[in-house]
Formats: sequence, structure tokens, C-alpha cells
Amino acid sequence: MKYIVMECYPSFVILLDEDGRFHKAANLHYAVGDTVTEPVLMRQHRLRRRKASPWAYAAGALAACLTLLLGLLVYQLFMYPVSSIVLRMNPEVRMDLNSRGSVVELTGLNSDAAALLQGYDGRGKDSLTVSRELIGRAMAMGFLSEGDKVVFTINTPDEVRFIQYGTALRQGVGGVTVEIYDSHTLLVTPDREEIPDDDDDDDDDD
Amino acid sequence: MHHKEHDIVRQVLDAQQDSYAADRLIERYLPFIRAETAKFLSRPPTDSDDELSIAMIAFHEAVCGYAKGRGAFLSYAATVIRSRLIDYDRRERRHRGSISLDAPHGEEDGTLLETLSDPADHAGRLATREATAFEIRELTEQMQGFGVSLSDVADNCPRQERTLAACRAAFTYAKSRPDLLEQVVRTGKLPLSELAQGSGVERKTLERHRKYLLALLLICTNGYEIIRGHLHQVLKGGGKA
Repeated sequence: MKYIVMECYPSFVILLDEDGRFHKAANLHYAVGDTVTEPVLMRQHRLRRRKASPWAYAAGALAACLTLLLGLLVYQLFMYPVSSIVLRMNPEVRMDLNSRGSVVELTGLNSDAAALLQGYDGRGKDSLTVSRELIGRAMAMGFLSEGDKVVFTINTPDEVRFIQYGTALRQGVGGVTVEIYDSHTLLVTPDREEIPDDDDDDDDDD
Repeated sequence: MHHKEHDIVRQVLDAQQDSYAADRLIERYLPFIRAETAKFLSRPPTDSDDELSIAMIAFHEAVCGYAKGRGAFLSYAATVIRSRLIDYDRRERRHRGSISLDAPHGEEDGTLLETLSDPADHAGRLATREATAFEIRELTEQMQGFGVSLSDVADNCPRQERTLAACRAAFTYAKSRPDLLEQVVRTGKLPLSELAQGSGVERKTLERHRKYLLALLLICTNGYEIIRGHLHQVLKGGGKA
């Protein structure tokens, strides 16, 4: 291989070989324009990546754990279903709610519900809004008419949530007759104002 | 002592970014380089000793390859210099036993070379060297006009065969397009999109070796016949794969 000496400095020269590569090499008393055959080429040093210090590994592991914990916390707060409300109007739909009462999942429990839910996404909304929207869709699709009965069965771990959801549904859903059940007791919890006087039960024993 | 080491490291890290700064650093540390060479030779080196040149390029390699985790810079440089001198010595031992053409011939004044070579060839070689030097000066000035030095080109030159082959493909395509070459000469800018599209080489490969490609394309233009002759295999679209 022949090399042309292209440039000279005290400590190195630049050579051009026949393959078109440019090299830095030792200046063995060359002059610009010389053609040489056995130069001492400069070796290219690649800096090896430094090994990370043990502290870097520890910090990385801690960051990974914190990210995982944060992820779990976010999942727990926003995505993990804590409660559910089954909405029965003849389409039968289950709403899964997170700890903040937002809907995380809607599941159709019968074939009419599948039709009702097609193209509808209620995730992220509260149960009252979703209930109103689904009842509206059911009426539009002919599953439900004004004044028909709609039954809500609430499954929640604590009574405070049950009262909160039940009250919101009873007061917020209009146009239909609302019944609310607690799935643990399956007892009706009617609104006090709606407890009728039952004349048939009077026992007038004379 | 710690302050001095910190100062050297700072100079070395600066020199890693700039070949000319590296050359100046080598000049500054020439006494150190001479001392290391003297240890190897067991005598003080003279300016004509090849070993001193080898030691200087080894110091340059040490500057380029130094990282803070490698301990004190001068200890590292001393190791690199010694290693290179040993390699050079081994290489030269393989050539020992050959007679130097500069050795005196017979009882008359004169060298062996003079008995073998035609004086006219020697004059021809000198003329060729001067003509080559003239072309190289022209090329260097033209490249400097575009803010590129030969040292930049040497640093930017592809090392891997695969990348060199890719650059050659772009270079071969550019040669078939005089309009592109004219654009390069006029603006000093490479038409990377057209080169990538025409040669089938990835644009990012061409971008990474932009300065090298610029030098090669300028060599293709008028006025650099000697350098083109040196690269005749590459210009044919051949060269080692």
C-alpha cells in the first residue's frame, strides 16, 4: 500500500492511502508530497465506557423501585376497581369504579347490554353521569320507556361509599323509577320520603 | 502535585478536541518524551532517530485515549510510549540483515544507492514530489475556504470497511453527476439528500462522514490529477472491500 504525505507537523503527519483513507502517522522525517510505503500509523483509541460506580447501580435500583411503587399507587387510586354498580333496566350493565368513584370499566352482562354499550366509552366519568347517559341511550334504542323501573345494585366495601353513591343516583336520575340495593344485604334502601302508607296492612280488629 | 496533575488533565482533555492543541501539548512535553525514549534506547535520542518520532506519535495516542479513570496521565503516557517503541523495535528487527542503500560502496566516496539508481529517476521523483505538494497545497486552501482541515478529514474518515464502502458508493454516484460536483465546488456543501437517494446509502451515514466526503469530492474536480492518480482504484469504483 502506498501513502501520499498530505500534511506535516512536528509530532505527526497526515497520509492518504490508495483506498482513499486518511491516516495520522508518525513523522519519520517526511515531506509533503512524499510517497511512503511503511508508515507507523497512529492507533485509534476508543474510550471504553467507564463501569458505573456501585452508587449508580444503587440509585438506579432505588429509582426503579420508586417508579414501581408510584405506578402501583396510581393503579390503586385510578384504575383498580374498588366498587361496582350493576344497572339493570333490561340491558344489564356493570360499572366498576375506582376509589375516587370514577368508572374504570363497563361490562355488558347480557346481549342487549352489548348493543347498548357499542360505541360508548364511559371510563373516567362518575357513576351518576354514566347512568344518566346509559338510561338515555336505552330509551333511544327502545329498551326503556319513561317511568320504567331501573334497579341499581351497589357493591362497595364501606357504608359511607354506599350512601354516597346511592344518594347521588336516587337524587340525580330522573324520568324512571329508581330502586337501589346493597349487594351485601340485598335489601332495598328506599328514600324515606317515598315510604308509602300501606292501608292494606291496617289491621282493624274489632 | 495534585494541582499540577489537574492542570495536565485539563490540557489533555482540551487537546482531545483539537489536533493542533495536541501537537502544541506534545511540543510542551517534548523533554518528557525524550526522557522516555532515552530510557528505551539507553542513550539520549537525536532528532534524526525514528524512535523519537514514534514516541511522539505514541504520546499523541495517549492524549487521545486518556480518560480520568486511567490514573495519572504521564504514567499512562509513559506506558503507551514504551509499548509503541517495543512494537517498532520488533518490526525493525524483521528488516535487520538487509543492507542500507545509504551504506558506503567500496573504497570510493559514494553510496550503494548511487550505483543502483538512475540519477534521472531521482530528479523525476523530486519533481513529482513537488508537483504533488503543489496540488496538496491547492486542495488544502480550497478546503480551508469551506472551514475544513485535513486533520478534520483524517478524524472524520470512516474506519470500518462497511462504512468506507458506503462512502465509496456515494462518491461513485456523485462522479456521475457533474452538476452535483459543481454545486459542491461552488458552495462547499454536500447535497446529502440527493447523494443518499442516488447511492442508496443512509443519509445519517453520509452526515457522519460529511467532511471526508467533501475532501474526496473536491479531489474529483479539476486540478488534482496526481492525487486522483493515486486513488485510481477508488475512482474506478473499486478498491478493497
